[in-house]
Amino acid sequence: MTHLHPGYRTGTRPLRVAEVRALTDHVRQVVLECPDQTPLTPHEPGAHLVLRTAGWDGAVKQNAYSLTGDGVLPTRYTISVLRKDPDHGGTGGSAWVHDLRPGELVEVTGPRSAFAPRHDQRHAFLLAGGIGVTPVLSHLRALARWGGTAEVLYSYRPGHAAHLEDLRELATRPGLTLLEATTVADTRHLLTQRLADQPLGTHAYACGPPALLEAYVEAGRAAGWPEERLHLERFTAPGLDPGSPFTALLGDGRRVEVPAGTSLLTSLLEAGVAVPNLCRQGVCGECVVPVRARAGDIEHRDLVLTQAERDAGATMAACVSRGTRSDSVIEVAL
Amino acid sequence: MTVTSTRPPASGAHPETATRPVLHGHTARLPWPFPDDLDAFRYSVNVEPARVPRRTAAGEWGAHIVDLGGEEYGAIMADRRRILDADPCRVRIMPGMLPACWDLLLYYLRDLAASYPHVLELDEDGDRFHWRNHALGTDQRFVLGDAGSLPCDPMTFLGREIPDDLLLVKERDGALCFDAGLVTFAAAWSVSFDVGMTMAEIHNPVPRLTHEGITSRAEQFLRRLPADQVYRRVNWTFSASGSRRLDVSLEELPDWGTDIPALVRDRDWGRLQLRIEVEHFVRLPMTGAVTFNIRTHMTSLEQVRRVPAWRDQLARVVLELPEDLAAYKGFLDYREPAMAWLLAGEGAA
Amino acid sequence: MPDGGTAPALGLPWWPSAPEPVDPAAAGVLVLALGVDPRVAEVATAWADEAERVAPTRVVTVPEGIDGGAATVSAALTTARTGVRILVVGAQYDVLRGLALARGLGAGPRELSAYAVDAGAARADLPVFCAHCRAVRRLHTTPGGTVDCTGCGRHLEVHGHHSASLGAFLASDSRARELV
Repeated sequence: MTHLHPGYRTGTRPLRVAEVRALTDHVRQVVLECPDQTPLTPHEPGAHLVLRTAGWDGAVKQNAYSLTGDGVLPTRYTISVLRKDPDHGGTGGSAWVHDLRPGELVEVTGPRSAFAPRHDQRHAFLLAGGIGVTPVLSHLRALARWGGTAEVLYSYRPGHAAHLEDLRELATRPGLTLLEATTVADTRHLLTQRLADQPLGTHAYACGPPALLEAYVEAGRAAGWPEERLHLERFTAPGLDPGSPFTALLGDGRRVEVPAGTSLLTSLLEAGVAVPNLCRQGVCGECVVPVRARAGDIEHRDLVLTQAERDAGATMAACVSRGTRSDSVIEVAL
Repeated sequence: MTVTSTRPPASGAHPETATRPVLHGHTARLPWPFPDDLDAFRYSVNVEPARVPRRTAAGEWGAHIVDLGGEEYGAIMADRRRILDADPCRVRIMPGMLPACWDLLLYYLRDLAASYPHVLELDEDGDRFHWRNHALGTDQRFVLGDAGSLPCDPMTFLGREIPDDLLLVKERDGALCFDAGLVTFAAAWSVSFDVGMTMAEIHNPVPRLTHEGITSRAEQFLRRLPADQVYRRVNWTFSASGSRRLDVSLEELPDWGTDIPALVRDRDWGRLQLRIEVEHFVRLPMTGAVTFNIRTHMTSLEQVRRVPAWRDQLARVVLELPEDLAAYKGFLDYREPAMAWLLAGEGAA
Repeated sequence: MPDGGTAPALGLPWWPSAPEPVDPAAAGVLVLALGVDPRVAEVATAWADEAERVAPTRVVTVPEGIDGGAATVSAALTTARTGVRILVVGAQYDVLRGLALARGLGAGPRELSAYAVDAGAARADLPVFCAHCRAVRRLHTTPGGTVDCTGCGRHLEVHGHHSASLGAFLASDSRARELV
């Protein structure tokens, strides 16, 4: 018991499904509340909740979903989940969430913050692509609550725009505006145009599919934005699915095969390599190890390394990050 | 602020066999900064979990994150409120830090109500709160986030209820910045000047070879502070004031600047004050800000001398300290005569 | 990494020995020329020439210096767009106060570049925060030096400690510990 008041719990605990609702054909909203009526823990905008789900193979999984509320004094946690079919990389976690019914209990951990706004920003530019709208909605709600200003660009496929009405309603408030784009061309055009027209002191935040994020980063750089003003979150937040087996090459020349579902950290410890570790969740940074690998061989799943550190590829968090393919070889300089 | 204790028989019985002093609440509550077995002090990132009660030679401290101060609470808060009323510059809140101040207020009021249920009460209904402080007479209803529902900003409201100095740090571009503070008992620094700086800039105003500076382990610890554990740390020094005066801020330097030079000139060692700071670190969930709240305690060498275990240990620690540390702590010049006085036994000149 | 200039020191402003090159990634450039020292115009012109080859450039001349020209500078900063690089030239006092004003209006360290025409001077007008006045004064002094406060009259010691957000050096009573 580390906090005297129950409204600060973030450890694994059960929450009850209060409501489920279809937002689009593929997106389902799930509202969670505390079974014993204690207040829920507040959170930063852009925070996510980790749910214990199950894959189609029955194996236990952990899936992270952005909370859509402003996080101030939540009485419920609301997530919006896109159902991913196997041909889109789905392994059953989102389908499991789609099957939830009111009254059922779900085991959750968090909220955890990994995509928070800068407290000193003078203005925010928010880019949402598809289901990436969920953390953007959270940011916008917080801005409305605390009186900040923002411009939102929502890029969506017609008929598949979850929370469009929520964004439109918020954009009627002073200082908040919404632009909509329904094609790739329109999105790119608006991005280029709008990133050139944000006041001094703006921070930008983007969440959506990889192609959109790439276009965003390119447009931001072309518009002269310093890197630290371009924030992004991949709309598939780092999950803890088993991943691919890969090989670790140790400093003494030994090769350690890391199976799918086993972390690099576990394999290193079993091989007798002393690696400091603490949270085993990719948040504390204790187990960050020096590595060498080919570009694209490391899949970073942690919440510690900066984008620059990930790009440099010289370190990785052993407890959650992995090799990307079965032929990936990662030299661990220990 | 008087200290009462029984005195040894006037016939000059040996101090060690004299009647054990009845320890005053203040002394019993004092967060003695050294573990029982410590002989030598060095700087370290000596953080430990908070809320763990610690026994000392004179009593116990540490069960709560806020020590109201027992029978001294009223006097300390009168001092705190007087300074805030006279000098608004002791509170600085950078733009964008108001939500963090609400975050801080909520966490602390909830904790206080749970820690001192007969004195402090907090009723909550959604975002509406009712706070009552039966010791100070505060009775306040407010709505979280609604500036107009409080008579002052939320950080000031909290600072007028508890003796801690309130400091909030938040990350900007990978560096922790001291972006909001309410500090009336600073030890020779100025909150008006320091707010807005990075922690590295505050603590390292000395020339470095690299542009970036060196991020301390303490800062790394705070950057990674998890949401599920509250920590604390205890620092100590000798106060720059020769009395129990808590406000030794840089602003008030002309008032207290000659205190120690006069004390040293007069060899009035009993009045030297051991100044102990207990820092608490909490990750606030609504904004991710981290607290660095400081509760300052003072006790005179005269009081320390009445607790034999403290007397002996403090003298050992102070005399053993390497010269550069003793100089940094400001007592290199007078530690020998001061500690000699401490060890000389009651009644000695 | 800077080459030459004053030694980088945490807590003290770093002055380059020559105006820094314009960031080629800039999408716009704003040059703030503060004060009437002839070197200010020289540096501002050279910067503008270089900047115009990189991005649309605007030069704002503020002959009255930062104190009198704060409104002009604020207006220029408020119309600037993210992507801009802000180049500030003037005497140390004007530059330090100008940088603080820019930071207060949202500029970050990577968007700011500064050149002080009097960086080599032994003593110069500096923004000094007198801890006893609780206010920033314009005093002719140097970090580590002493000077009389024009506000409270105390003989201040100017500490080697500068706050970028406040835009001033810290100073306190140099005689407070002297027994009479």
